Amino acid sequence: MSASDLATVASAVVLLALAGAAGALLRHEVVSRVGPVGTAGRAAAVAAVNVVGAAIAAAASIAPLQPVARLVVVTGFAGALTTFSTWVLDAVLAPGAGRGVRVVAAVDLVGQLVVGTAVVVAITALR
Amino acid sequence: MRTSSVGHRVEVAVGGAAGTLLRAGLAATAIALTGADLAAAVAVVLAGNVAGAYALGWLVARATSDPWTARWVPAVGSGGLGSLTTFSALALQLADLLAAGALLSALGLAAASVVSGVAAARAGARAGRRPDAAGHGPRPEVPGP
Repeated sequence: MSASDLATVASAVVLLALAGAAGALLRHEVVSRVGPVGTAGRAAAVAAVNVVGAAIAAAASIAPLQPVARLVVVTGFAGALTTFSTWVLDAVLAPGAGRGVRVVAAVDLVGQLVVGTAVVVAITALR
Repeated sequence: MRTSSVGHRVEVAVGGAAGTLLRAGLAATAIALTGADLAAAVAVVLAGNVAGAYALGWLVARATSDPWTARWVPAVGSGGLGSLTTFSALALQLADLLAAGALLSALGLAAASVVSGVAAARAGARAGRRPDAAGHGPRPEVPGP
């Protein structure tokens, strides 16, 4: 690997880390303001960051971007803005906050995955 | 409603950078080993998501009875595990499978992700809960993942 290749990789890693930090921080700002774990408001906030993040990733994946820029936006920012662990843990804890198991399963889990995937399919169809 | 301190925000950002680099590193390793195989990419995202769900369940459950663990929730939970795991990559992979006409594979991945993710989060929460946690002194405030 040449010195210039090494510099490219190093700058990509730094940009990836910065994008990940920004995505995580934005998610935290949105999700932590709406209510305790397990509540419907919090589930809506997690759904919002996840669907918006999936849309951003889909748009960046078809946009005429340099490979490093695409990596930074798709893997860095959108990857960190969206979350799987909080999504499923909130669903597990939702019945403890008084929410019905069937509603959580149908809306929070299946519904969000269907909507998120449909948004990606619709955006990537524009390619 | 809860707002975060500047310190919590810094911890979330640092953890978010670390979780993102770990996820990207795992994906790069899979690409190097398999040559950008979609099945390998799917396996990496699924493994990271399920492992992260277990770890977050453990962390949040333990944090309700252990102030020292609660201190790490912003950095490790909200930042690290929140960023190691990803919804957008899963949605992109499902869309790729659908675009390739692999409907059964897409349904299988969706079901495997949701079922194993929920099971892992539940198992992690059960493992993190201390047997004597109920009713022994005030619970520390947990910032939430």
